[in-house]
Amino acid sequence: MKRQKNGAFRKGAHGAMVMIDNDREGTVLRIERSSIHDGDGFRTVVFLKGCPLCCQWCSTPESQKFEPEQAGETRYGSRMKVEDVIREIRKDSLFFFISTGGVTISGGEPLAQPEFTKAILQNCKKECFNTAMETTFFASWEQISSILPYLNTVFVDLKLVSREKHIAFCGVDNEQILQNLLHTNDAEGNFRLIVRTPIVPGVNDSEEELEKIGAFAASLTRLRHIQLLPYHRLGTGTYQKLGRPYLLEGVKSPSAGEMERCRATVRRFVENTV
Amino acid sequence: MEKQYMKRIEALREQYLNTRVDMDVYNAKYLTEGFKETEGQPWIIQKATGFYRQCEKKNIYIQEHELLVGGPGFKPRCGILCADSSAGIIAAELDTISTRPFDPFYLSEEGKKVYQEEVEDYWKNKCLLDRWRLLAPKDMETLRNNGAIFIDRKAVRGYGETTPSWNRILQKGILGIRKEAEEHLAALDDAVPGDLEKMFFYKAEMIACDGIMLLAKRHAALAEEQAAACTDEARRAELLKIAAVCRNVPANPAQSFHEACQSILFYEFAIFMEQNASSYNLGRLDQYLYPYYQADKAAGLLDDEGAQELFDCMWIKIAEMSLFQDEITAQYAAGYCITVQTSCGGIDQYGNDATNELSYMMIQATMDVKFKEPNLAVTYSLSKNPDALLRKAVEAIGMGLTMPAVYSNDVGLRMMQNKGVPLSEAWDWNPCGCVETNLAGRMKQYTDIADINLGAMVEFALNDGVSRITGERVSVSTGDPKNFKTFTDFFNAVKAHIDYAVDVITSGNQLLDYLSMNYRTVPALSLGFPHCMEVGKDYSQPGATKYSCGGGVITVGQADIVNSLAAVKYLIYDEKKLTMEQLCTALAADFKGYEDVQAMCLAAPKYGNDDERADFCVGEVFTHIIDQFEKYDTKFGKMTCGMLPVSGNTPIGQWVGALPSGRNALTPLTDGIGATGGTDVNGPTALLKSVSRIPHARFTQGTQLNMKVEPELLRGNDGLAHGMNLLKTLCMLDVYHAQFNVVDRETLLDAQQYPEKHRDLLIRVAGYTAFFVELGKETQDEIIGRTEIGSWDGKGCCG
Repeated sequence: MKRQKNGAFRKGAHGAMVMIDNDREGTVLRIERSSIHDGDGFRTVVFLKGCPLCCQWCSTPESQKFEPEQAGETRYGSRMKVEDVIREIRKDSLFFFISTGGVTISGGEPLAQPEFTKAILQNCKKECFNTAMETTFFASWEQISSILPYLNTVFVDLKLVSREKHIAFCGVDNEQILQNLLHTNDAEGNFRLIVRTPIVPGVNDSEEELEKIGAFAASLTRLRHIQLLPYHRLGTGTYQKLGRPYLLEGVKSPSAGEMERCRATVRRFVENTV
Repeated sequence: MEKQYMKRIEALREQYLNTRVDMDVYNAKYLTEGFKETEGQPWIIQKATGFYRQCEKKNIYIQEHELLVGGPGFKPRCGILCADSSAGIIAAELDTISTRPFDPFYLSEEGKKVYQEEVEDYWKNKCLLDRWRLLAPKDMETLRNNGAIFIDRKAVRGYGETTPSWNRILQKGILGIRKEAEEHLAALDDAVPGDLEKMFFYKAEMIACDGIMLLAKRHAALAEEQAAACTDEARRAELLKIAAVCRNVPANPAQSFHEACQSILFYEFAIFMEQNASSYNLGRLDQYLYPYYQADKAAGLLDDEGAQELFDCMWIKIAEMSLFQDEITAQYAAGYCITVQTSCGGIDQYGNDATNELSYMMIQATMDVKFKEPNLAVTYSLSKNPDALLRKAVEAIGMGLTMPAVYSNDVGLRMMQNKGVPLSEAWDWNPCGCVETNLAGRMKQYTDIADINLGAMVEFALNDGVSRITGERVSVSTGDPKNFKTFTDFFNAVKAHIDYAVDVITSGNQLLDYLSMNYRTVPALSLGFPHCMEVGKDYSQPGATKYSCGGGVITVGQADIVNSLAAVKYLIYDEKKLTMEQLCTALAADFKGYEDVQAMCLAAPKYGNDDERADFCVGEVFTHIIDQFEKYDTKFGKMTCGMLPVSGNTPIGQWVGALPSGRNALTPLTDGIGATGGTDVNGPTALLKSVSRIPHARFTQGTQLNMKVEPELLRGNDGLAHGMNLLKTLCMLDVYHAQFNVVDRETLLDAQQYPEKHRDLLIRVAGYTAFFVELGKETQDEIIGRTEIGSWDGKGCCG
């Protein structure tokens, strides 16, 4: 078989020969090892830099801009080649094996660097690593569908179903996001679909909004579960560091009781709400 | 629901915590009396007679609530002065020992008088420590006096770090062992060369047996006396039971689980009275005690709660033993630590899973008692032991107990093989002391004849063999570092200093062996080693035990030497950010005025991050060290090494100037085989990967990894799985040992209040790792809050 420098032919998802673009560069915010929050087992999370959304509660504001940036002594992000990322990922392969963990591509928005994301995931599949992606789904369906075959799990954020509110709090229309979720529901493949909703007091914790979220999630028949995550303020220090205003000043993390109330509401629509 | 037996355990705990730690000089007094009355006789007879007098005369006690009794001192929680080892050691400390900062021992005025009038003078130039000082080679003194090695520990106290054959004690009984000695003695002919020495030995064994049995009988009598005066019927029955148990064991084979526990304790206390040595391990208790548990249960004499209660009582009795050390030695291993290790799990002689009900009870005992002794471990066989055992271990770790330690059974087994033990016996290995390896009743070794200061080895290479602290020439000359043209030149200079220190330490070891053979006979300890009985030699003699595994040396400052080598390579030879001259000038000034150089040093690649630029030298440098030691033979086999600094990394650091790692002069070196505090920013998996570069199995005295983990990692059911997965992977990576210190809520609150104490505390925040004390108050609160939510969730899970 013919091989090219830093690339290898192999069978693609549909049996066709594809070439992995190992020379491609992307902007990586950081690579976190032994994470226990972004999928099963121990995971290496590749945070890509750059996101088309600007959610006001975003806990990683340093992941929003597409270019590497400097804040004081801290440098956020660097340009990396696919093969450099893979070399880093490979280091924990034994932990993946034992813990049924793997690789999670997160962001920023991984789909904003679709070719880079795809090449990383193709490599992971080549080495039999379990893969997951955390995404807003704010991307074209074409891009998503070309990446889904390389994923074991896709975590999609569904922050708000109300269109106006989504525009107000996240800076973009959610029409495409909802459409992509519906397409994904009908897509082929064995990947798991998990929807995650951050519960932000005053934004989406009203019964009305939760019911909308629940009802929409209920229409996704292949959904594994919907996970509600309590809003937290761990990122506020980073806003200061970057000299950016934090718009949700004064909002408090929801209590355990509040979270239970929200879950109970969503559970009326989707039994598997965690 | 509180278990019934926990009432007693709580009461015993309370009693323990309310007991002051005292200095016992009475054992020394009785020992001295025995020596005086046998003046001129063979040393071993003198020692045995002295030991007998200790057993005969020592004050004994039975405390409220106790089911298991005895103890080495005149009261519970005592440090014992072992006069023949180091009688003079407390002479200078008589007025300060009660109040000194590390491990104070209360010494009464009466005690002082006893020491001064009845102990001190007799042992001048006679105890082992005095002889050691008289004979110490000059090069050794120079290295020691400049802190490049620490080598007096084994002259101060005797050799522990061993595991007697508990099966022998339990199954034969002391009387049975005495009979063996008697029979051997009868078969000897003093006209045959060599038999005379054997006769001395067997006679000493019989005297030691008589002493131990007498001590047990005295306890039986005391229990009967207390029973007669006891008005509480339940307690009276307990006391009578104690009396009956002490009448039977350890003289006779144990007849019940209760007797087996008491028999073990009596012998444990006896050998500790003989030597004040650390780490007389209990070994694989789940294996030794299982037949007694099974028989008692089948006969309806014992239920699981009863067995658990006895285990818990035994744990408290072990915790009562306190290791006496002089002030300086205590700094190297503070905490009264007797480090009596016991382990569960592992495999049996057929290679099958050895886990049984008692394995779980041992872990439960540590969860109940919550003391740091005995030092509990699981020798985890990845392929054979059940997940349930590992899960139980992680549950205990999750409580923040730091115990049990978890060992890779396979690596331990390979260490045994490296010590010359065949596979037919290596399966039965047990962890010893801190993290050493041992084989019950068959192996003699010194764990830590010396500590070698690896930070100093780097310093000497960069300063031509001269100490930056004292300005004295300490090691060989390796020339001006500016002339090192390549990194290899520098690395070779470091190796040259290591080689010199190894050579000097080995000569110290030969001296210690000579002194031990002549002045450190241990007739009571020898009873637990069947080979001693067979060949008629005391434990202290070459060829006495089945396996002799040399003098062990502890390397201190693993991360420091790696980080320093890495920084020099990276900054000077690879990236050329600094010249050797710039570096050396900054180091000489302890970075004062050269903060930019220090910043570069600190930013250089660090061990613990799975970063090739730092870890490249790990395998090479440690292989070099062990290769070097293994070149040397001793009367007791090849020299061995371990990486278990206990707390020696702190005092040893006071002898090291600034290092290329960015570490300031006089500050502690890094403990164990972990990363330097605050430099491992890639999480636990990366740390374990770096650690796996060490050739663990060749460091047969063990390698110690203390891992800080965040409570979040071990929280809830997922947390148990994470902990288990980490430990399983550790085994697959061929890492030998890990102990988890969970960073708890209290630590975080303390760090918020006293940030200067917790500067290197790393914590995960929203996908990245940061220094906790550098986070804003709000973020800190949020993180502390997470630990709270965790406990709430945890309750929710259990319904």
